[in-house]
Amino acid sequence: MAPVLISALEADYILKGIDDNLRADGRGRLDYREVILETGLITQAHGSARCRLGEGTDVLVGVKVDIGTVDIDGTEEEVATVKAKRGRVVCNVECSPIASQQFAGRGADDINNELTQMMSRVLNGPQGGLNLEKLCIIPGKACWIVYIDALVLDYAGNIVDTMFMTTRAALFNTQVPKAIIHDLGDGEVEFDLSEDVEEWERIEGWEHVPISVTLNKIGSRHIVDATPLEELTTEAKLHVMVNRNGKICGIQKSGSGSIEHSLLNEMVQEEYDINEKRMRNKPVEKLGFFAAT
Amino acid sequence: MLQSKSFLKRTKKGNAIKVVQEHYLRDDIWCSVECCKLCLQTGPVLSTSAMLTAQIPRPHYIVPDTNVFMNQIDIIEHPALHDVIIMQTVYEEIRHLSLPIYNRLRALINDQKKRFYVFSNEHHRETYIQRLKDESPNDRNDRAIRSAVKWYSTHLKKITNKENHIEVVLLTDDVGNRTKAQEEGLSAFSVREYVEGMTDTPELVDILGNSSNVEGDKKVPYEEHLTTSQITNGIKNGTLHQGTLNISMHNYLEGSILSNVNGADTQIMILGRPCLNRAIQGDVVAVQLLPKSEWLRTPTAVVVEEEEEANVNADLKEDGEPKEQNDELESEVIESSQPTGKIVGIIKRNWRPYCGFISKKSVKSSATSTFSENVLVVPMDRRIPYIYIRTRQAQNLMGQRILVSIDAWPKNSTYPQGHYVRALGAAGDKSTETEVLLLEHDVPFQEFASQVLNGLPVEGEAWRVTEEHLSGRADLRHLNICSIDPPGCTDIDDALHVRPLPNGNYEVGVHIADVTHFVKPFTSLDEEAANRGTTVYLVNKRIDMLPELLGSNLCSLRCNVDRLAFSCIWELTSDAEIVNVNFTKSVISSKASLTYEEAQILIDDTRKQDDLTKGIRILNQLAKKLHKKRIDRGAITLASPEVRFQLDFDSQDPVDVEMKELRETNALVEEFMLLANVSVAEKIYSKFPASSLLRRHPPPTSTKLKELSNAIKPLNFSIEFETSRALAESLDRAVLSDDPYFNKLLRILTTRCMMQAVYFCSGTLQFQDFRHYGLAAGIYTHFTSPIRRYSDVIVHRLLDAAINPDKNYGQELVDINKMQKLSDVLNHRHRMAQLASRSSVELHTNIFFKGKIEHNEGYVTRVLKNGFIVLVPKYGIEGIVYSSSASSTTKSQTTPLVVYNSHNNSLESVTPSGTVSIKLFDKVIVQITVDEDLVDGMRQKMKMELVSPFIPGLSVSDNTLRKKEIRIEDEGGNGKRMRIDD
Repeated sequence: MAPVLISALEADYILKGIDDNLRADGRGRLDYREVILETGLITQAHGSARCRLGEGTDVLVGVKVDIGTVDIDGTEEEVATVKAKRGRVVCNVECSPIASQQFAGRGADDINNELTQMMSRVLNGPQGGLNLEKLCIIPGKACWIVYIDALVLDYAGNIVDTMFMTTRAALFNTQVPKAIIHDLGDGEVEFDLSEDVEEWERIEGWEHVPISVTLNKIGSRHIVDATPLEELTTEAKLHVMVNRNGKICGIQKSGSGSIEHSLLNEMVQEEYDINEKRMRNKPVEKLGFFAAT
Repeated sequence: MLQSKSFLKRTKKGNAIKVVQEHYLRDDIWCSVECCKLCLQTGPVLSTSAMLTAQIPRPHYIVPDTNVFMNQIDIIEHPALHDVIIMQTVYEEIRHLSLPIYNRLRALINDQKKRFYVFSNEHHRETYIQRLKDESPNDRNDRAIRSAVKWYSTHLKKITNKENHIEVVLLTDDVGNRTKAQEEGLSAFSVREYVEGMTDTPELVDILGNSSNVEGDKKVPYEEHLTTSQITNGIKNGTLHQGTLNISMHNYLEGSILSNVNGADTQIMILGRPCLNRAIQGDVVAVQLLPKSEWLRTPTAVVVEEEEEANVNADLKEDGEPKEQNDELESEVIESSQPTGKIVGIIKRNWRPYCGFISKKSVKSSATSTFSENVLVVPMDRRIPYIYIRTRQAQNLMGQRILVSIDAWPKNSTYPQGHYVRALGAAGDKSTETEVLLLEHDVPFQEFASQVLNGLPVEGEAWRVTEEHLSGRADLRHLNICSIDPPGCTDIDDALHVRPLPNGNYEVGVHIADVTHFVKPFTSLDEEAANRGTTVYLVNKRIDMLPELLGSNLCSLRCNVDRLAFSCIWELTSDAEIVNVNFTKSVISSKASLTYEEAQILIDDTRKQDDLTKGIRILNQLAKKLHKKRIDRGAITLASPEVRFQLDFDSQDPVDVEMKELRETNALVEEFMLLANVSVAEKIYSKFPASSLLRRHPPPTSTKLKELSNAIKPLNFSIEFETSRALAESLDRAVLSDDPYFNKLLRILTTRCMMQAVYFCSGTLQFQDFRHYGLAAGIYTHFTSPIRRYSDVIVHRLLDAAINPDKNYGQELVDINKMQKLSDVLNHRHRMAQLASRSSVELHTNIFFKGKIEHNEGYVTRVLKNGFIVLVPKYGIEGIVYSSSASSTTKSQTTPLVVYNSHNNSLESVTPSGTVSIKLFDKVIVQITVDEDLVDGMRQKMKMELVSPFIPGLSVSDNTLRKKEIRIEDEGGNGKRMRIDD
């Protein structure tokens, strides 16, 4: 990634502001920018959503489901028997070069990999919320693979949170074709897919998909929903994923700085509270068609 | 107005793709009714003089639903039906359900006389409907059709007044749909109701599809077919085998498929009705192998026709299962048993209309009856089972050839159920029988359509070579070019020239008619020629591939007129070695059109010393050298028992049969054509290594040749077949000094063991598989007869593109898939053309033998379990002599007259004067008659009966021959020479 520099003066200004609980755009430390969420905008996809955070960050997520084979080669038998009865989630995050000059050229590879990894870890497993067993069509043979493609169209800080929010919305929007199983006798099973769009169903467990809150440690304090300049002054980040039941589904740290143990506990608690609040009683305003543009 | 609809599509790999389509509804789709003032159409299709029937005496248009087209297309095609509106919903459903029916429908729409109009109801703002929740797609489509009918009905009320009011009538066999339509105030009828109301054309009722109105006879309990998914699964995991069913010509209850079993291509036999399980010749079927203990052992028995007939009677009397093969199951399993299976499902039906005749015995009504009854139709093709049809004209149709279609084969019916399509004419009539054989061999024989003829040069007969044709062409008009062809040949494809060069070598040119100058790609003319594939030669008729103007005039290299040609010019040494070769488009003027005979006379007549004659002599010398070289390389001289008829000029009846005579000059032309084909093949392959159209001849499979080799072992000959050269040499050795025909017979039988030569696209095979085994050529194609073969047209285009680097050529010349598909079509057409001409010869042979009883010498060419096949060289005909036929009085005898000896593949009989045996290559004398009465007298059949060696009970006795006063001299001596002259 091309190093983006920030002057010492600018960094100091941000640091001081955060100490006083007043950030450059007038927010307090734990205030989010406005979120605009739109679903179902790609008709060819099985599900899609787009999220804009404040005036900047813009993430588009498309979900495609397709039939795949169960991948159990080389795994131990116990794991294989579990895996055989499950579908899979395959994530891919791509930061568009038009979003920021950081993503130009090969610079985006690292960040793309990091974000893809993070998504896969959270969503592929019980913590991800989706009922993967329900995605199995014929145990050991065929299953649904849910491809989640996130595209970062514009960057104004806090990609991770935006990405998870959009993903959750896109999964909510996703319709999976119904598979009709035929028993051929002799234990042989074959299936057909219902062509009728009306009969398609949501993926079970979409409501348990977690969202993330990222805290940026700047100086001895931490803030949410950092802007690009704030991210440049950030020493370390902590992402915490929480689902609607208030269960923590994943924690990941990034950035080069360290977080003291006491601060870590405090940050996790803080993030948890924020997330709880966001999940439960968030003021929602319906904006209608073309709201995000 | 915009609608979007999404649906799921599964790819071949099994992936599921969501497809979203935008659908714009329009309000500018017109009704196409002649008198409509509201719609802005140009060229309305539907006439105001619409359908009128006794039942609906007001003019009306018909709107059939999808199933009407699917089941009753023959009715729809009848000229009595016109002014039909086809809803787009129906049209698209048909396209998905059945391509053949879709194509027939397309033909109807294009036929201006039928006035069929496709109404795009799915795009019309007022007729489009959206699917309701919980509505099945079929119900939705039915509703869409009703909605469109409704629109038409109100629209027609608007545009017509009381006097000239036109109605719309929905035709559907779906009761529910009909009721709903009637509830909505539309008039709806079932096809039967409607057709029965058409009292002017009573025969239409016979054409009605026969899908549900015949109850089965429940005699052969067929097994239920497996479901499609069970079949696909079974084939995938190897428990089932897929293949195209091929029924034996000699036994209609014996079929086989060629399929891959455990990695090897294996022939799987399928025996008896229950195992064939309602499959018909040509169907793609799924087969399950039977346990090894039930496998079949050779040889196979032929089903005797009388037996066949007896079965029909038995069936009709509700007797039970035919018993052709019980004895086979009793005997013990021997090692060489063949994989045997049973059909468990049908993957693709390959039904077509079949020519046949009504079995007299199945007709019960009296001569005056007009009630409809079920009768059995016996198809001309022996491999097709009898077909039940329902007809009221049974009495009328007896003695005629008719065309029938199969509708269904329910599992409780012994025979499939079908319906009458049309009558072709009286049986035995030459033109009827010719049409039958063309139909049976799928030969497109209709006149050329006007749009095809429009592609011809506008000058017609007056077309001349002009100056502008000369650009890019070599002017070879000064050369002494001549053509040598059979007498009466009008489509002259090829001409030759030779001239000595100063360096002692010769320049030899082969000039081929430049058909591609007239037949340009993507024109109707080209498409028609590609579809016909080849000219079909019948005894009394020629079905041209190209319109006559081109074939017999403009392309034909006639003498003393300028013609366009594609020339292949070599420099050959006096030893016929190629120094170089050059290809060019040219203009030639042939100096003489000779027949083989005339050319031969010129060669032999030493007094003639003109340049042309000298040239032919040089060509002859070179051809002999080329021939020798080819033989040295291992080319095989094959033989066929071909004969030629001399036809009576007026009646076109055959008056005499002669063997085809071969002269030196035949070989002369052939050698140079082979040379040209090889040279062209090399050239096009060098430029188009992936998409050249070539011809190959695979080496024969060893099993059949081994059998033949074993059969001639007692005569101290053998057949080597490791290479074509070894085969050629071993054939040359096998000469019996006292029987000159033996060698030819052996060659005929060897030819039958050979594979068929086939066209293929060079990109689909490895180079070593390109070989032409018979001609011993590494690469070969067809270049020399573009007037009568479409393959040559393509090769001309390829060659033209290969020699002109700057020339633009179409993508079709480099598309491997298209090229391979084309070669598959050409192979099929080629094969069918061969079979059709063979059938035509058979037909004329039968006419020739009508009323004659002849005794002739023949050779045994195959020994079967209950008979043997005899080839009579004089007429080139082959027939079966049944050894255990039910026709003789032997039926009641407990010991069979003739016993099959599997040890030495012979039939043996113990007679008072010793044991008589009949084996392969034995010379026998047979009596040839045309048996007219066999199976209702409708299938003319050459009948052969054994005269000598004499086997009591089997051979025809002296009694029947008394008139001819023929004495059989030696009853036991089958090896001796016998000659009986009429």
